[in-house]
Amino acid sequence: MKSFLALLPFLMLATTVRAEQVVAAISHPSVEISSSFEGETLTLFGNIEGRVGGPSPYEVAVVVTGPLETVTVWEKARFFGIWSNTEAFSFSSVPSFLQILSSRPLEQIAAQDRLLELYLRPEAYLVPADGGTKAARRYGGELIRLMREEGRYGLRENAVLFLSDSLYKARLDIPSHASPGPYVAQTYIFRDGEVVARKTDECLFAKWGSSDSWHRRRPDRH
Amino acid sequence: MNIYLPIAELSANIFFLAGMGGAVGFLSGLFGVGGGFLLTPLLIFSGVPTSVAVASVTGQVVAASTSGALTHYRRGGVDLHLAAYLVATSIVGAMIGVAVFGHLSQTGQLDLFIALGFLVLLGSVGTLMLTESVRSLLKQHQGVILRKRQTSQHNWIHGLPWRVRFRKSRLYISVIPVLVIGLFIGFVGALLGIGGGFIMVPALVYLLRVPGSVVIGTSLAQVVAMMGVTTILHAVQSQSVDIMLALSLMVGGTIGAQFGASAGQRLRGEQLRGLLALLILAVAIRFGVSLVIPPASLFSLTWS
Repeated sequence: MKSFLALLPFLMLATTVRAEQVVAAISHPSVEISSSFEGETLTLFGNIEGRVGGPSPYEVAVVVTGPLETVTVWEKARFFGIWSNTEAFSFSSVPSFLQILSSRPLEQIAAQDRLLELYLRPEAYLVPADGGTKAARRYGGELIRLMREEGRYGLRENAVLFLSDSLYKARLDIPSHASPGPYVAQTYIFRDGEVVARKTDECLFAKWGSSDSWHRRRPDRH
Repeated sequence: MNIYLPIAELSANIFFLAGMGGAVGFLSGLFGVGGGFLLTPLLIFSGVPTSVAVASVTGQVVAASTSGALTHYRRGGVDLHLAAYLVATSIVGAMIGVAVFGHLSQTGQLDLFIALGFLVLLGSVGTLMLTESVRSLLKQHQGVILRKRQTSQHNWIHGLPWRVRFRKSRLYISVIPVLVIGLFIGFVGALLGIGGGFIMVPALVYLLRVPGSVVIGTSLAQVVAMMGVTTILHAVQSQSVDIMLALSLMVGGTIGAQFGASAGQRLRGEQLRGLLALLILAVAIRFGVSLVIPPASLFSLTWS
């Protein structure tokens, strides 16, 4: 009790300094991939609590990432008249799915460096902070392009809708070819270009009838 | 109506898959071939990952060949002794094939080698069949009576050592060519996802002089045993057998084969062989073109 009383001033200080906090959730805590699975629509919603209202409005950015994989980018070249894979570049721990949703165009929400720091740019997952080698940038760019074409990566800068000053929601379509595993939604609440609150939520996509052995991935995928 | 394929990890229309199985089943009933050499390319061309297509068709081929093998067995058209020798080495070949398959998919060269394999195999078999059937059709047209090949005719293969008597086939031949044929078919079958009947039957007839009454049954029995083992090997080693995909193909294939078989009775043998040759060549050309034309995207992704 004594220690609690001793802590009390700090707790009160903490609540006054961190004025805002966000209460967020995903419509489905888990999704079962059964034989009739054709993708799933998730609704992300939340409420910003605390010092609501003020001179500038809140902005929301959510980044949803699927299970991490090692992805190899192959480059074809003509070899004796036949097109074959000749060059390769591997990236470890790449999200198999990446969607960035926001309430406004991202460059209006925060500065480029800040967005990279918060992993609100696909490049942040592929290229080290110092910019990496030329090859890493080149193949990383191709990886993002191919992932976009497959509908795995995307950026929707008007997907987060405010229902009131503090209540927001966003819809997210997960395609049927998305990989099973944990999907993590990282929510950032911005005000004046700074993060004022953040929260992490998770949704697990699991194959129906899956045991550990079913979960083992086959060695190559396209 | 869509169905989720748990290993391919994509959702596909079940009627499309069953229809494709049915169309190939019709052709396999019509021509008396397994149809793996058509089904695997069709799946690859329609977007199923190469590794999943090959491994799942392997399972489908077992199902497609079983009823045929049983029918021939009941009629006494299977030389079990000969089939046992073929199966023994074809399993060794399949093991090598699955290992090579795994190595190629790790080094990103699987698609290339499968396309090359189909091009070489189907191209050469198709060309041989086409020239042969065109020649015999022309001769029939000119009224020349074809002299039947005599099955008792001997060639250099019959001079090899380690001779074994195969009673049902009425043969007393060296086991070396038998084992080599088994090894080759096992390897090619595992790598390309085909039963290999269209190589096995000519090899048994022209190289070993196996009589026509047991050739189809023995080949089918060998395919069932070999592809059964290959399916298990693929499932364990490369984990790319998609049971939902195989099942959808089987359902369509079984129905299609019945219609194909009855349609085949109305066509003459030489015409059938000519049509089959054209079909085989068309698939080979499709693979050849895909190797030579510049790809839509120079870059591709593989996951591990």
